[in-house]
Amino acid sequence: MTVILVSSDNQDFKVDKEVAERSILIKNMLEDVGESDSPIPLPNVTSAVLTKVIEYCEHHRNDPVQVPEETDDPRKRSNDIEEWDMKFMQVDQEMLFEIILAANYLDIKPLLDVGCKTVANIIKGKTPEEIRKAFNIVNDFTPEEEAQIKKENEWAEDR
Amino acid sequence: MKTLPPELLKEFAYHLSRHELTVCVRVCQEWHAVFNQSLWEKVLLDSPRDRDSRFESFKKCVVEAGALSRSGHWIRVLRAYHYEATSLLATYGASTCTEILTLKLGSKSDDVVDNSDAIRLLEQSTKLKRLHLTGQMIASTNLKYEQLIAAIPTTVELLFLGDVGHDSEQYADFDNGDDDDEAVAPPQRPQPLIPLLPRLTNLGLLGVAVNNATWPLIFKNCPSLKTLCLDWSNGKEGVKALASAAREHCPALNQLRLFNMTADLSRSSFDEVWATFLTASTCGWEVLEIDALSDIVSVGPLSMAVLLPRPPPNQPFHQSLNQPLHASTLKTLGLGYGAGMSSEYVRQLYEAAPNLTIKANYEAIPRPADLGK
Repeated sequence: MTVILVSSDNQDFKVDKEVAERSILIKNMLEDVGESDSPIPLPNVTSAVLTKVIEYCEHHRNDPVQVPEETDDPRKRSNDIEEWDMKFMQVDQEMLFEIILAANYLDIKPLLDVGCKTVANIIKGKTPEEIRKAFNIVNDFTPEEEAQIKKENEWAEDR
Repeated sequence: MKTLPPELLKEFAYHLSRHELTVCVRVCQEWHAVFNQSLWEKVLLDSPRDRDSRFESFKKCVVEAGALSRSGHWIRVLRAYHYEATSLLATYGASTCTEILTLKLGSKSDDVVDNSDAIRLLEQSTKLKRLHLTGQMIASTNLKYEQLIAAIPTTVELLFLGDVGHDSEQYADFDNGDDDDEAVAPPQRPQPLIPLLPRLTNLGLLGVAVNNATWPLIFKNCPSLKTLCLDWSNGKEGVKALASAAREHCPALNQLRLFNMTADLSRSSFDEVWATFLTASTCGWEVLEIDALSDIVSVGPLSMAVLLPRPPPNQPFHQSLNQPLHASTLKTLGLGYGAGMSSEYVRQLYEAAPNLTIKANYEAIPRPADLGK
């Protein structure tokens, strides 16, 4: 069985129901509507991003449904990314953010996780200035503010 | 360039270490707002690896940079080894450190601890759920021991009191002080008379001796108690008093964890005491864990007592199955390191208890394949 997804720029994507249901949002929609072949509009996702997202869902179509794990310490979570996902995430930053936003909107938890891990790995080992450069962020602190914030949080730094 | 909404920035925080968060908060205002919350959620100052330097640095951040006035209200978990950390929170965080859910407070052996700051901290922690108090704060010599215990907030669900090692040694010295004509009377141990804690489900008392007469007073005040952690501070008679008080006041109590059970008890006496306790409690035990049984090679008789009435002499074990005590409820029987059990015992236990998992050396012993479930 297939379903038709419609991107924000009005392109139709025909995908297997099993693949589309990797998205909890779509899964719930299909359950609500019941048997119906009317297309599903996704006004928040462009065709370029939807192409990527479908590629991910196709590859992971047979993965077991993720049980939300209750880790006491989220910082113990591994940042390891499996090889296919790593290659999949080798996109420009704009696309990376778009994929994360789409994964969040479509409620595809494993994709959201991979996206966040990818960003976390970019952040690791950088100085604030390097992070600003990497993400094109403007420093809106005065030097005094920035120094004060550093002073308040020094206890948490590794030495 | 499209920016990420703050709620997604928060997702990244889960994948960053504490150190990386200290970098992220300095990137820009928006990042600061998001990552500062994650950074301060858990203030862990008790890692044995670096607790002294970590605490000194924390103190500087609080005293010199006023860190608690900006970030104290984000703290949900605080673990400290130095009593001075308690003082800092009560003094500099009096109006901000009010949202804490988990507090683990300790003291160094040379800390001067009069409990006033700890009492103030407990009084300002009106949302507290889990509380660990260890060291000098609950030492028998502390004049404000009882006030501290009385200040425990009624919201608490888990309470752990652990004495410092040397204090219980000091107490033991008084017990065998027969070489002195003017024998010093044993000090009247202040009793942990906890206030009414209607939500308390977990209680741990380690190195804290309790008088027989005190057990009913404790249990009366924790009607929701589900898990009890104890060590060998209370002796054989204490265990009997404990059992009857628990039976009377704590209908939900069904998990027992015993620590440091390496006291010089002969195996038979150990078994007898805990078998009495378990059979005297009618609540239906689900979890029984006995830690550090290094000097006990086989724990057969005790575990039998957990599950079954003692079989009459000369009667094969399986013929006494008609009156199982806890077999239908027991889910976990955990035995610490060094606990060996013959495969026949394991088999009989599994046969008697349909839902049981037996753990030895913290690993599950598999249920024999032919028993099924």
